[in-house]
Amino acid sequence: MTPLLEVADLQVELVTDRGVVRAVDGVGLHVGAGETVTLIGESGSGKSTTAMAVLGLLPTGTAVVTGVVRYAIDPDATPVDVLTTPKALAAVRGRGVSLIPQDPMTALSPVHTVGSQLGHAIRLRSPGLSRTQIRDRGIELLDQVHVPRPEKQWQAYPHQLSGGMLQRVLIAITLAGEPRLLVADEPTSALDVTVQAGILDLLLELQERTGIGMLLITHDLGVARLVSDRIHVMRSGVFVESGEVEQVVGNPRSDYTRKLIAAVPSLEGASA
Amino acid sequence: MSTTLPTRPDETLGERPSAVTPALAARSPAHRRARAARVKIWIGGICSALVVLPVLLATVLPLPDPNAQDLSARRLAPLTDGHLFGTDQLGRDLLARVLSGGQVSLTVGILAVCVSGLIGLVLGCLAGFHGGWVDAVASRLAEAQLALPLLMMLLLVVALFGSSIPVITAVIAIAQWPEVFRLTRSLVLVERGKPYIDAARTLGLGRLAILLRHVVPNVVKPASLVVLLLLAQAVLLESALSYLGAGPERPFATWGRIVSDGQDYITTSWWIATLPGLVIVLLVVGVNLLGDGLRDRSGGIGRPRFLGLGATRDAKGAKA
Amino acid sequence: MSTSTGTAATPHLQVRGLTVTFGDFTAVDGVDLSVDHGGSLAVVGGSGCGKSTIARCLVRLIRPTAGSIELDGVDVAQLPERKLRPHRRKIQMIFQDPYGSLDPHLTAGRIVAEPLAVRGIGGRAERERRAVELLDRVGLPASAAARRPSEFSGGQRQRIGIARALASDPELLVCDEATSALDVSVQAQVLDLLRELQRDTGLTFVVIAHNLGVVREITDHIVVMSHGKVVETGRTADVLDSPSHEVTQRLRAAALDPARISGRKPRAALAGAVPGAAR
Repeated sequence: MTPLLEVADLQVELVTDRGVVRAVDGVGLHVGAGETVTLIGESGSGKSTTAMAVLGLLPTGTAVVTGVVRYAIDPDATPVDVLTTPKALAAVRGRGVSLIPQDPMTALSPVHTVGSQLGHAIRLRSPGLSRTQIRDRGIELLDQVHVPRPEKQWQAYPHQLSGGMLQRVLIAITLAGEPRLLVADEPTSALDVTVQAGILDLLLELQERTGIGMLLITHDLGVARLVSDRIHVMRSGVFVESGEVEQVVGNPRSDYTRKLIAAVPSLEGASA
Repeated sequence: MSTTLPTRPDETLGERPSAVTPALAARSPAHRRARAARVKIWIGGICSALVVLPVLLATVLPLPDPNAQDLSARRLAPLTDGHLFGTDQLGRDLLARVLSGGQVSLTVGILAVCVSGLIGLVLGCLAGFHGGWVDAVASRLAEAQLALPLLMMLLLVVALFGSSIPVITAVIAIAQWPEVFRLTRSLVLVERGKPYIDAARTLGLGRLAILLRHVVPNVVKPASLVVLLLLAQAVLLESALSYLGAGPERPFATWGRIVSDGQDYITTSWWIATLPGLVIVLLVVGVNLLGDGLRDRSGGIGRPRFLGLGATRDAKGAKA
Repeated sequence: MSTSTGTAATPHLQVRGLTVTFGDFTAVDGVDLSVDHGGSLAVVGGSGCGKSTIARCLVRLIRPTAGSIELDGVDVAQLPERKLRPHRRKIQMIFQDPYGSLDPHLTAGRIVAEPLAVRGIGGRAERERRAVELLDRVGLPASAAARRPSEFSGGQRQRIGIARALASDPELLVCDEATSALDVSVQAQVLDLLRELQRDTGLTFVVIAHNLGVVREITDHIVVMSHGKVVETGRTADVLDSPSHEVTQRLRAAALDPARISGRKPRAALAGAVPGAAR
């Protein structure tokens, strides 16, 4: 079966004041339906740049992207490489692929209600719907992401909600496009630990129910271990190690991965 | 699906060829911005120097006395009889008058900017750092000044206290300090909220020491660039006052007065009003471009930062 | 260790009934804390539980609304700034933000020398020499003294911040999420440094954190907070091994330790952390 997303030989170079920096240096990965593939690495490893390049969200002019980024959102159509045909991006983004941003507090417009922003996303997907139909669909989506009392939150403004609730609303907005692939860039790192658990649980639940594919970016080994099928450990723009999550975390082959795992402060008493 | 890729060395610009062609690099925002700043600084510097250098050297240049009249050589066109800019209605050499007028205009402008910069900086720092009633009083003063019809007020002050150079300087300084004040105040408010100020407090530093040692050095540079932009405005204001007859008293030639005297002859002798006007334009444009370019190059206030640059900074840090 | 000093000795830091209100909002509500000389206390909780407000009270960046903060029996909670100044030296803070907590226009050497100047120690040359020593103490080379903060990585900046705190010759260090902005491998190095300081200097530590793994590594006692109140206290190991309060249990379950997770995408691992996870 063709994967939803296939990336090969991806290279990103950033032209800065001080010269050219190669942020991503020839990486390859693929994400199939129902799979979670995680890029894990420390700051500056190029993991976020990889995700943004896959979505075509890097600033043109500054970023020079080469390689293959092939989407097969519609199983019947032929896969399309968005690097050679940039026009295909518009069709892919929003409908087939959605982004869950890092900081939910700034990702929503502060002067519009949750309802109007979610409603807008629904209208983009299904233009023919009436106001009440959009509202019903929106409340259904909010209920799916376990926002309590969705009828009430429909009227709320973003500042009236907590960070965890906003992240749920954002996930509802991405679901409005009925995507087959989610790109989640550090979806929980701006959130409190206890709230993080709820969001991860929601993502796992969504995947169980809808078979959505997910490309997750994180620096947190615990998060990666919990939700991934496959992990790519990234450092200085290259994949240092790739493989099944249990194998990478349980039996790492590269020194860097071992160092990374050893650095996580353990909750068990052994090291205290 | 479990393949371990070979670990690559840290020198990432190694084996793979770079896809960045010189043409692509030249079109990138980073390069365009740097180039624009460089061009602005060069053009601005040349324009300013074209005016400022001759004005500074006016006394040593072989020029006739700017106040020496020669009624037989009235209103000579430029480039006649060794008068580069021609002569005015009383036969005085126009170039000499423009340069000596420039000395007065520039002196007043620079003095005024220094005074207004100092007032604005001190009040801005105090208001931003202390807050409370100091902030309330200073901010209301600045607002009151902004609410008044400026030129009318300046003319009134000159009418009351005479038009000596100190009065004109003070008047322009009063007109300009709110600009510096508001910028400094907002910069200080930003700095004050940063943790290093908290750190200084926990060390036991007094408020004044924190203000002088930590806050002021971090706001002086961006604030002083605005002062440069104000210089052009000060020269313009001085010229406007002179033009309206409220400039420094005769016999000082000033740019504004030369223009105002020359406008009676604009139909017959266009150069008397036009050439000094062009000199003013050259200086104002030059200083503005220079200030703008310097601000762009120094990272600027509120210049957008984007993903790419942040990532590279972190990349450098992670390796260190 | 903290318990060995016996019950008769005065604790190094004794906080009673600490309350902080901002307008109508009570951020900290009657909190009691106590740390013995050379001990280390963790204050943990979710965001907005008031733990950072406590840290800011301890170093008196905030004047508490009510309650006492006794350092060796001297209450500093309500002292006016002038009387507080001699006490400020004794209690220093390591800040969370490695980018904002160092003055960008000063060199690392000047930053570390500043507390020495405040204490009136030595001439300029003497202070510079001691600044280099302190930088060496936190694992930075002598050449670091001439560089500005923007030339250092996050972890190195935290080291400079630690050197600055040490330059005050403190008795108690407050670490306010001192490693949470760092990468995990850098965090491990900074934690090593803090542990080394505990061992060699006998400094008393108050560690504000949300990461229970970090807390486990560098503290011996713990206070768990929720909504401005203390909900559980005890020895760190005991509390983390067998948490009794619901808030602690949830924090414990939410801390994802990769070594403890097994199986493919085990939603069950989150069971204790998600309120109402029964669905």
